[in-house]
Amino acid sequence: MIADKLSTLVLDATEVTYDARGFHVQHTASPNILPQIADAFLSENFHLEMITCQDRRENDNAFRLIYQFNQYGSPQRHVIHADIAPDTAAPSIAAIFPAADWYEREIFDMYGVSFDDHPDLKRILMEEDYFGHPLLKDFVDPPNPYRSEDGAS
Amino acid sequence: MAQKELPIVTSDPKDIEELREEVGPLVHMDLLENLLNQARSRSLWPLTFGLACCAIEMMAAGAARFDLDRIGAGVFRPSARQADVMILAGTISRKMATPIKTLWDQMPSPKWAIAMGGCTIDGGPFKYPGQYAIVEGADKIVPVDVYVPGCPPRPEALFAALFKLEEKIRAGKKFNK
Amino acid sequence: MKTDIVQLFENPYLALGVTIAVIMAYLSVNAIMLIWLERKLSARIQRRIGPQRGPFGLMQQIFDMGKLLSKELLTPEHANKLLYVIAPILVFAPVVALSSLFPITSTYIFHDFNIAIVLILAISGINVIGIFLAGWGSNNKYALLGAVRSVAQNISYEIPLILSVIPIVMITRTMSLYDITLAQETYPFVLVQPIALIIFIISATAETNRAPFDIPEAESELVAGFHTEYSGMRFGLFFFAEYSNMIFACALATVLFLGGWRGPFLPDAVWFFIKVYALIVLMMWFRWTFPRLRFDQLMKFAWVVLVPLSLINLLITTLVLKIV
Repeated sequence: MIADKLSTLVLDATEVTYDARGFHVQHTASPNILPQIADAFLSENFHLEMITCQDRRENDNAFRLIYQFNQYGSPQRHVIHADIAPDTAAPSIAAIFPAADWYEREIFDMYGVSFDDHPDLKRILMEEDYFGHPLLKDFVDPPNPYRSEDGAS
Repeated sequence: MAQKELPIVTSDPKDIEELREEVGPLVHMDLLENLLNQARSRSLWPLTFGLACCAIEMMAAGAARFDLDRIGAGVFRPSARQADVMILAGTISRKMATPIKTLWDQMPSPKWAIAMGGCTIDGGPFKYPGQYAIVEGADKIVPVDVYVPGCPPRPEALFAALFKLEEKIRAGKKFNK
Repeated sequence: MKTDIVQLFENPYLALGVTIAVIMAYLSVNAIMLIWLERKLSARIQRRIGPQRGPFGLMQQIFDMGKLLSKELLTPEHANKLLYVIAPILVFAPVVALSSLFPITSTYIFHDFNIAIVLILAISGINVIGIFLAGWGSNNKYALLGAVRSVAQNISYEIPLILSVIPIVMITRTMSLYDITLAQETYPFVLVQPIALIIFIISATAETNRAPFDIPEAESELVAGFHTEYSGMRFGLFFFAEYSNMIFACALATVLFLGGWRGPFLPDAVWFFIKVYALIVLMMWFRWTFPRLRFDQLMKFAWVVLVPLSLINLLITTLVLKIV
């Protein structure tokens, strides 16, 4: 059962009401063991739904990576929160779930969090030679010709 | 921050006008140009260039109920070398700006561009101070001939745009004066 | 009986000139009318209307031609100029050369070779070289992919094509198109060789790169296939060549299987063209009915279905001819 496999890996497991939050169980984990968590989910026929990130440098001085896994049959959505310090690389789970490839590229593009062992870590939404990470809270897009004068900040 | 080449058109129109006055009409080709413009205006082959939601309305305009083929514009060519008019249908993300410029350069002249939808006119609903994602308007990349407002414009609006473009082509260079 | 054009004009060079002029004129007008027919037919099949400029949309072709003639002729930067320019000519030339072999009427023909079938099947293979030169000379990876697939498809489908023509040759013991038409006095050969006609039409559709076998010029898959980098009138020439190839294949099917110019009441030439254009409408109908075959399905269909079927047909024909 997934709960047994995860109990050794994660720091906590909180059951939440699905109607209120949209998922079933929330875990917190350390980012180093993410590949093992992903292995555990894969062995239990879970699939990766989403990876996203939050910029929490003001509150906790960390980026919070949020992984979401689910399974068909009897849906049970698990959410994993992993806090990573700024300027540290997180391990990539693209070798286990190939879908993570583009999610991690998006996080790298928008937040600047890089991933170790990623097959092809380059920008995915902005143009490839762009400078800056747009979804950071202190981001300002420099003036450029793509914007009209009255739209520039 | 690295400085890079942006695909923005910055040619000065006054230079071209001065040049044209200088050279003058060496050979009077008016009748031939008029005849060719009549032919070109009635046989505009669009480039399949749907970028976002306006593409659905462009497809609807080409499909059975509205049928762009009635006015000769039904042959959508996938290769830029065989297309006349680039209908920019949809939001232009910044990553897409360079391919658009490449495709515009690949099109043989005479060529025209129709900016379809609010996003290609000036950024549309995605424009806010400090936005980082889109190019605010197709005319920052290619010289646009006809603008079609709407989000998305109805197929009838695209027809109106093509008729307007046909008028513009038939009017020839006199339009600019 | 039949009058050769050389007999008609006494001077062989004058006869040659008249032949070329008539064939080029016919193929040009024919290509333009076929493009119009395709657009109108496809529109009606899709419940649309199609071009509406002029009566029945006939003026649309003139506007299209005028526009294509006045387009800038671009040549890609690193393209092999010689190959790039020669390719459309190579695709178009064999059809023009071989069109003089078809007997249109029973009394006046251009020329009658006694090995016409061999000549036709051999020379019409040159358009494969033309397509490959177009893809290679364009210096464009999509064009090259389209050209490579087209070469594979064309040489695969030539085999069932030839194998479906051989039973006709065996029945009539002659390879001259005029004599084959004469031999269909009492019944057209489609009644004794229906499978051969079906195989021939399918292979001819594949040979001319028409849908559902149009992977080489597939619009949504390979930009525009092997003619990606051609603009203006050079592209018009490829279009021209495709429709001329279609006429060519349908004319061959008419002569071999449907009885050529035979038919009651109407004059010979009218019947010939009625049959040819009926087959062309059939080929256009195919295009807007069937989805495109994937490339491996295409090759599998040729080698696993058509070649054995045509071989079995050949075997049965041999046995029946031996016994009867």
